Amino acid sequence: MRLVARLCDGGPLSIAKLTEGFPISRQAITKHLRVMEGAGLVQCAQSGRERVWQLEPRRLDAARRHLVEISAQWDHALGRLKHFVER
Amino acid sequence: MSIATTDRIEKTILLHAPRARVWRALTNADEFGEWFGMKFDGAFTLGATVRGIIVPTKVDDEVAEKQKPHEGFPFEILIEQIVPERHFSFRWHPFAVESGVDYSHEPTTLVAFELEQIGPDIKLTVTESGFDRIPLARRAQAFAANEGGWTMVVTLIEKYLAKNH
Repeated sequence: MRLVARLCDGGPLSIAKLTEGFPISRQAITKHLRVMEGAGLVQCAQSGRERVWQLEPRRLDAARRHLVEISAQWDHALGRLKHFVER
Repeated sequence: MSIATTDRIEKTILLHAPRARVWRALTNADEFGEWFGMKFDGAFTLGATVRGIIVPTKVDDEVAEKQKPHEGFPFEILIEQIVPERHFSFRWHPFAVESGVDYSHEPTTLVAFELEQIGPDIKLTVTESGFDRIPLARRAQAFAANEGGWTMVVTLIEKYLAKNH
């Protein structure tokens, strides 16, 4: 999540900038980024000779919205429970 | 629910029914399955892992129609705590919506039901917590896999947001 925070604050960042100050290797960070890329949360782009990473905000928002969906499903389920025990 | 709260969902509902009736609807696997829309292969006993599949609910035709595409989808719940007629909780995998994916090593969320007597009624509080332990990537993947389902409930969510903002 700190990776996400840094990408939020710093906009598109190179892997060198991203790993600055983290106590884990550049390879480990890249692995995290690849997983997030697979989920559509971040994008990788070529900027000159460097590869830069940036957030895909629409997908991040989607991850948050998923919780709203689960919340709505609970509203539904409890409505069915009410009907079930009061009939 | 504020959009900043990502770890926990909490709901309360007032049920005009005897405590024993509500308790049975929550802890009897067959009854739980009937209103929730699941079918279980065993009883809810402390520490038990109970396997179930999604079956359309019998109490709401409209919802049953929406559950139809997921019919037969398998999942497991782990019974965490039972305090007779007061507290019932279990763990499950909240984003387990893709078939063929093994979720058993991923973190679970805790679903807890609390019963409280309010005059002749029962106040039921349900909380689901631990979402922050689920990797963000998994949440987004599950969301993408479930986008069809999402479209179906979009009206509900709009209502939900209108109520909470």
